[in-house]
Amino acid sequence: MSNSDINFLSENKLDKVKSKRLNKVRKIALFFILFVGLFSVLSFLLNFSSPLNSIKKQQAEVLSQITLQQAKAAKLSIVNERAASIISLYGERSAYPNILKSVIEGVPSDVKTAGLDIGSSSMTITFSSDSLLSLNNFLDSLISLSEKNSSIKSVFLDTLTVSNNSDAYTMAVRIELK
Amino acid sequence: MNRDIKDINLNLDVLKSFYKENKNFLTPLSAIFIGIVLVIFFVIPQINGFFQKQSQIESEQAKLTHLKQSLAVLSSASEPVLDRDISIASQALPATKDFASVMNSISNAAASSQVSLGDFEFQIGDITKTAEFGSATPSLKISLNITGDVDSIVNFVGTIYKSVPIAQVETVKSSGNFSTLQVSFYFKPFPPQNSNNPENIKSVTQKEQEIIDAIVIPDSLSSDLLNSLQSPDASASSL
Repeated sequence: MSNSDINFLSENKLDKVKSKRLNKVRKIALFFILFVGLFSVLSFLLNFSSPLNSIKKQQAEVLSQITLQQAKAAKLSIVNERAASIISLYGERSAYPNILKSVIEGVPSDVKTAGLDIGSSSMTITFSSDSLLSLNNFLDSLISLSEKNSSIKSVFLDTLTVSNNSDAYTMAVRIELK
Repeated sequence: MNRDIKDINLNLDVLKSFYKENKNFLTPLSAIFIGIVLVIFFVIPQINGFFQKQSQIESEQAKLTHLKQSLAVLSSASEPVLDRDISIASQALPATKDFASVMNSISNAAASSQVSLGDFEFQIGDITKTAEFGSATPSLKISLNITGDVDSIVNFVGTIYKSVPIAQVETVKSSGNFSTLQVSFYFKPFPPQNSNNPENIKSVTQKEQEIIDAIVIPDSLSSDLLNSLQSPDASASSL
């Protein structure tokens, strides 16, 4: 009795099972071949139709036209830079000249501006007058000016002196800026 | 020894019969294996490359748009107007220490405010070192002695502020009719030309053009325009 007589499956059935397996493997192999093949064709078509080269070509054309106007571009750059720097400088400068002008313009006719001391963040102006009332009114106007002007941080009355000889009043007002 | 040869023969026979039974599977299995390798080493990298390329296309398209905008700005800009603007802006903010313009500015301000100029002193600094373009704005400092009443000094300061080159009166010490002023006149070297980015060419804004147009040489800037620039949020809103 040989080994083949012990096999419970007939040879026909064995062949059918093998044949089914072979077909399945062949289908899977065909799927892989088709998938990779189609993907390669698609990848080639996408690369071929990519607009990247066309965009780069247009960039080169526009750049060459800009290069022809290089001198104008340089002038425009200078004007932009100068204008921006000038605006920045005007913005950074202290605002005290305007405040000083407003203060001086508000000085009554019987009050004299006797002295001026301007520093980096404050200015001290000395006023003198025979009339204490005029000085007082002027001080009130300075206070209302400080309330309206956002550049003024505070107003101090540093000194108020009376001259024995001439009955003249002198006041030193310090205006601090923001 | 005969037993070993028999064993070897048996193994070879087994392999031969295995091959004979399954040789039909060899080709499709090889195809599957090659397919898997191609998917891993070709298909997946190609997919990644596709997305990277898309992103590159977007950025190059944006760059092209900026270049076209720059070209449009250049084409619309008038060269005579630019030359005029450079001339005016350079007088307001010279590229180097312009002693002549400084002297002119001081003389004109003194004449218009009716003060007498006394001695003055330039504080020049290191003459071997040339100023380089940077974010800070260097200045030429000058110390002035002036004779005039306080009202005239105030007018002098106001006139200096509106004239060119752009100046800042740092300190004023006034006693009676005699005053000492410290004034800084600004200058700034031109930017290096290789810093121009062709994608970033911008036209002069309306505000910038107004400022330049308002700088009349040697007369003064309008107070309204200066006031608008010196308000607390001027720098942020001016452009």
